Amino acid sequence: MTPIYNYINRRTFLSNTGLSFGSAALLSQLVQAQEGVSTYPGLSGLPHHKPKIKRVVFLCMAGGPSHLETFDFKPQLNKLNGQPMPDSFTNGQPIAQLQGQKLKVQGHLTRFQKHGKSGQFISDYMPYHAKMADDISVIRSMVTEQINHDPAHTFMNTGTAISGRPSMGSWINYGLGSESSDLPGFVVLTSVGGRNPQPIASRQWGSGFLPSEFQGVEFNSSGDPVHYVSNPAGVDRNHQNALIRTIRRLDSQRNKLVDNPEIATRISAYEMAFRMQASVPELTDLSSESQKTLDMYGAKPGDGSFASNCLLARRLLEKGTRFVQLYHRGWDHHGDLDKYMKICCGLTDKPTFALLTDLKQRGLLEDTLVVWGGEFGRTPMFQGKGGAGRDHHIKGFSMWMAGGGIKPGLSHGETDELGYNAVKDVVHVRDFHATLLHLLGINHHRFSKKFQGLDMRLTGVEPAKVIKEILA
Amino acid sequence: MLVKEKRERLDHIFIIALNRSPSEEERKELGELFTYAKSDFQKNPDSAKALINVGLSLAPENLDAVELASWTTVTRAILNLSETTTRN
Repeated sequence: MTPIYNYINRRTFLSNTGLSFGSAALLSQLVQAQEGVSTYPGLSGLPHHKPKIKRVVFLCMAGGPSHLETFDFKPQLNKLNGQPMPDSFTNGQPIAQLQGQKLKVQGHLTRFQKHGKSGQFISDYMPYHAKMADDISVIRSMVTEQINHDPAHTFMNTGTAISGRPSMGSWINYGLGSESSDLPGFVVLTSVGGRNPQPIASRQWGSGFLPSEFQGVEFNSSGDPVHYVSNPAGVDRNHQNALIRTIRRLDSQRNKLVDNPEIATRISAYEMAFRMQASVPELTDLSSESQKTLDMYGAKPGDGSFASNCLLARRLLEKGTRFVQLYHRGWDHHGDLDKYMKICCGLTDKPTFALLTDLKQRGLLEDTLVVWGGEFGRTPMFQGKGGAGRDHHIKGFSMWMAGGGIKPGLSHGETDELGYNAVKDVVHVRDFHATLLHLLGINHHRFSKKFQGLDMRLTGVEPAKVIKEILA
Repeated sequence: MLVKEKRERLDHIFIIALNRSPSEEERKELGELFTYAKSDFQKNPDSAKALINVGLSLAPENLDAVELASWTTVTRAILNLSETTTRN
């Protein structure tokens, strides 16, 4: 059995390359690390081409934000408000909760205006997004294949509705390795606020058949970010180091005998955990952030809000975390859409603007990709759980991307006159994955892992294409 | 090398956790950890007392705090081994 990948041991690396400690600034993370500590450098042969971005932050508006109250303006929808939804749209189409009910058109619940030089339509619910009109590239023609939350999230994260496949953050770290020696390469933070928060399974950031060291690590957004991050009373860092070193040596000896990749994973997890005991308190100590920055995000340290998570995301990206995913759980607006759009946008609109602005000001946006979107959109048809709302919808919805390699201020694709079907430049979730990998320097056709006799890929075997039109 | 009593104690702990005797190499690693822990706790006896009183049950007062804390460090290592927590 061959090892799943080769670690670079600090000493081996230094002796093989003949680098001295002084000249190897590039290896600072290895040099400062403890004896024997290794960082995974990614698969050999990757990247396939010159990457445009190094890192990704995915702002997941969990629950399925309405494209018809955010980005997708359809005058015809307002004209037909209250009238029966034409059968030509809905016959034979999958429907979540409105099955068997009389379908009628629900007009936009707010006004849309053109913003910026690009003149992108953005709704009045999102005044801070309006300011970003010339920075973001809005895809108005997304489609997915799953109409309920959990499978739709699974589809968005793994490219399939079958549970247990690796999520995109795991794929990316498996392919490219981590840029941080003391924080995980894939971190997840969640926040709530809005209607009836849907649960998010930790499976959504699972690594599937990839080694489990590539799974996402969820940080708690309030309280201790990581449970038991401190040493027990009476144990200082040197003492803990001696303990971890002994565990590493004994586990390594064992692994020589049984050669189990999960022991290798465990050894690296223990090393990472030890380094995180120092790095996590530093990461979440926001005292070095100016009041101006805190105000820009609207973040109160430790409040667990989307705003605080955005600020933590920036700090993680700055420290080399490859893939950060923020879930804001509250967008499942079957009813009282107006009320809940105000709540959800109130909690997420400004922090999103702050994150983009902050990344830009620090020069990070040019090699960072920011993605905004949910697991699906919402129906042009009325649903009335409480006040006017909308049901789940998968045939057309909006997402946006901004940052490195993305043409700013672009509107890409269109839905039909009622915002039901994506009709022009349709973008499937697989196309999004192909584009994401492309920006990271990876050809999705050639990025696979053997599993159960198949060459498994994030983009699967069905057609997937890079969205060339949105690339800068 | 460990003196005989320590060696027996270490073997006893190891067998309880792993259902086998330690190899010479494992004895050496854990013995070194014990030596380190003991010298550390001898310098910082308050730390030893703090460690052995983590958790709900109080440490028996008739036991030497430094000795107990040092063995606590050794058992933390053993209980955290892959072989202890998984089948292989």
